[in-house]
Amino acid sequence: MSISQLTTQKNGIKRRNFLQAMGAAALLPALFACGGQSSGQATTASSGSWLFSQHGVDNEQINTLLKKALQNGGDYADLYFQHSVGNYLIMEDMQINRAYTQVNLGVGVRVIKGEQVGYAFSQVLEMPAMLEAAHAAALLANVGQTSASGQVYQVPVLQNKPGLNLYPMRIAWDEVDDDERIAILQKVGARMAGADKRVIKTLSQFSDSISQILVATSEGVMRSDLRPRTSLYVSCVAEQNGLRESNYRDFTTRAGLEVYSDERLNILADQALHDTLALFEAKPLKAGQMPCVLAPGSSGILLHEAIGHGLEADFNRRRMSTYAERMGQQIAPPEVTIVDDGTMANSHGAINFDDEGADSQRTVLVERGVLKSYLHDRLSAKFFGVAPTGSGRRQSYEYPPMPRMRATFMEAGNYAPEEIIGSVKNGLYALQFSNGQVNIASGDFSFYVKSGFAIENGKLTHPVKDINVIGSGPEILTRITMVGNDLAFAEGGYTCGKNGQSVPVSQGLPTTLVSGINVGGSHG
Amino acid sequence: MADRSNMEAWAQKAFKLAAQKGAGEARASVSRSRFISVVMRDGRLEKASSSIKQGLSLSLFINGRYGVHSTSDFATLESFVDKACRFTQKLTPDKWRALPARELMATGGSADLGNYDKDLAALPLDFWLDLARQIDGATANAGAKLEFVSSQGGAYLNVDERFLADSRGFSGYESATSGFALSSLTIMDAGNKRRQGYWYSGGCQAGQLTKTGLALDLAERARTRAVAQLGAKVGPSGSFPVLVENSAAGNLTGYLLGAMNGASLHHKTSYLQDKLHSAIAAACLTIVDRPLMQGGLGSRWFDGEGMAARDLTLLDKGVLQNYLLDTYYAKALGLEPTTGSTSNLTLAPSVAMNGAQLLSQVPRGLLLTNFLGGNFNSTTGDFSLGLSGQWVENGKIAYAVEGMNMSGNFAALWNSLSAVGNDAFMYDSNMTPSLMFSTVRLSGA
Repeated sequence: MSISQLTTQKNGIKRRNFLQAMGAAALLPALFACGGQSSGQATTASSGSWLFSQHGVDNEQINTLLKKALQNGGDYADLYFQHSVGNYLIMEDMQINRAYTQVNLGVGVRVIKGEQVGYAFSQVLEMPAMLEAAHAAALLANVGQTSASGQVYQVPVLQNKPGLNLYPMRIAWDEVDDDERIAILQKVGARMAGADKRVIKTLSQFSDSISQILVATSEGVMRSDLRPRTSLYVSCVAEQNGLRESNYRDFTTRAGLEVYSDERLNILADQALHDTLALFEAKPLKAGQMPCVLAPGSSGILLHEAIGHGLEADFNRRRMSTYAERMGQQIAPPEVTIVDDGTMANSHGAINFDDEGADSQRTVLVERGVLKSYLHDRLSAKFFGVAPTGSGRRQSYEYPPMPRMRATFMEAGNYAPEEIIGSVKNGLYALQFSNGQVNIASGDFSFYVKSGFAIENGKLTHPVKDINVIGSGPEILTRITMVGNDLAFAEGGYTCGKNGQSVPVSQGLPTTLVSGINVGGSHG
Repeated sequence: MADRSNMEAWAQKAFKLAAQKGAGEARASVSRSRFISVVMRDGRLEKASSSIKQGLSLSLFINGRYGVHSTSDFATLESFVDKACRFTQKLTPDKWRALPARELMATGGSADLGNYDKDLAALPLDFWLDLARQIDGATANAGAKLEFVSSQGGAYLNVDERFLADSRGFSGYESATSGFALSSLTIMDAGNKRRQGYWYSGGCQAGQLTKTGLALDLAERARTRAVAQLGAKVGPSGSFPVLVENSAAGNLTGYLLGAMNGASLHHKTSYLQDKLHSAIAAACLTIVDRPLMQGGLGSRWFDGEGMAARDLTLLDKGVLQNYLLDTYYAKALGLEPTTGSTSNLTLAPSVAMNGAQLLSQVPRGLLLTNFLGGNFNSTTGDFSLGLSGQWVENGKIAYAVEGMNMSGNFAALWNSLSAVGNDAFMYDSNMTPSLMFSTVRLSGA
């Protein structure tokens, strides 16, 4: 499928777009990160007490709900409680004149019977409503199967299991005053004001959220987490000789207010301005097949689209991925080692445990060119007879989990970046990206180069912009010929959309040469 | 929350709380949706879900200070409104923030727009399970003689209710039903590639989901589309005619709408700034938004601000007639408000031909059936979009193509529009039909 999805809310309620609900796999920058996230007291991440202290749900009730969920003979059930609070502020031409807040509360009930999944949720955390959701999920999972009559399921005593501690907040968002949020944007505004007379508009957006979650399973696992997210997006529009250009920079992390040092704010503002003005220097690049050098950092979008989605095990369980049945095969040159890691501190894609209660981990997908592992959730791990990789993720309590990426990157190689650029006679140096998409079945993918440079005779010459790059994932992997020694991670956040659910992810790449790829023309 | 009066009570409670906290004016939108979603794959249930979702969104206008605050937690409404008011009061006043002018508000009761069908709303879970199962089975049959990989049947119901009110006395209630059915077939191609073909249909009326032959029809469309991509390769580079199939063409009009909305204009990120009443496309392009259309997926009698819905001509014979302006952006730009968002987007056919008939007129070029990624730069109008489809020689499909890009500037692209088909896409509120462009720059092999 090749259906992208965008989630920006305008006035009123738009009719649910069917295409969005079906959606394929698309990667977009997390510019509007306020999507229904969370808050609450900064309790320790591993304690389930928030659910009881704030909503009166105790272990006995959880136990009752799990039993209800398994009443029709399901093999497994889990509950996903979530309370999220998000704040979102906009500054336009130095005026902070719009604020948005969002509260989302609910519990999702999943029942699995064989490979069948029944799912329902309740937005009210009171027993009658939650029991109704458990009952509905039990019925849905049991479709077309005979009920196990008279079987009484015993749910083991729930054991709190601590997760990692990857994103402690020194200054937690629920203790931050609105004035402090406003001050972040004011500092950005002060830095941009009068910085260049070609600037005709500035627009910056700040968001923070904290999401309290609790997962409880019929196998007795109970885990609680407090997940922060914050992002700052700085953009401007400039005019020169009657032409206009706009560009942006963004920063996203899982952390508290402490990350917004004056230095960071100044750098973001300066970069947004620089990147916008640089577009006036851009010249066209002749379209066609050419070598492409990917700059370190957000170029990890290549891995995300060319192979990451294809290794999500749900697609492989159904043999729908172009990487299905290729485990253990050499799919890339030995220079290529690709990792998906949920355990990097403060990373946008970091998780202390996954959304079905499995341990977070560092998963080597491709080692020295050999396909080593898919990304598994509980269902696919069981199907393939392997351990879960901690990749079961969901957008919110409204959705069942599925295998997803976390932070995807390629290990550093041996080449100096100058050596890699120097080896290209004519080609593209891709620097910044705005989005990408993949067709899982064919393996074709594309990503959009917001800005970059032409390479001529081994040197970066003029800037280029607005170029779409498209190719076949498995083919492109075999064309990775040089890998740099300068692995870096994207500062800007991305959210990844799949089947109508979006989750925060990260990506990284060292300077990397792809020997040939189809580069769409840029307009000059 | 089960009915209109309940939704109204929540809105009124929110107003009262907001007024107590100093919000002079406010608008509240209360929504409630019930859905059923069933996916069958390879003869078995893959996933079934069903629930009710509700939400309240409160827009506050406190002496020009503006904030929009949403919650799904009705039990804590009081502290929610208190916090929302305190946050909003910290902002900079903005002279253009206001509720719409009274004379523009919708009045009277809800007209019957044919978009709520009680029979569709009443179709039970078993119906949707059975529909998905039938489609999955038909899809597997359709793929049986091919290198079959996987079949999928999907069935989806949404019953949506919306209550919108403002503190000056406007109130409006709308309800809508929609149901969809989907077939998806994956087959093997050479080189370990799979080809996935899918198709879906649906609408607001039960008859659109219960009609006989639906499963077979969808499965056949999915099969045809999967087979059509077998052996796809990268086509030639150069400037060629491009026919964009109706199911994909809405992407292009969607980008165009993005450049026509008030936010883009006010933020100076629209290439259509200062183009009102100018020709921005070929004369064969007329675009009208029709909110009062019977049975439309986007039909409504008031918009997101409660303004009365009316037909709105956006482009007439290529000339830009109206921007999409809500109250705020209209004031900011010194223009009259229209509406901030489209409903049922319609394009007048310029020829009495559908996509297949237009195809027969392409001497050598591309039939574009799917976009893959890419971007449109609204500020400059530049675009570069990934695509797949079929190469056309002498009005006939020659071979499948993929891995290509089209690029250029929107001003030139829309000027090269040579025909608008009569095959409006019926399964989205953006009903763009097949579009024929006489010359588009493609990059391929």
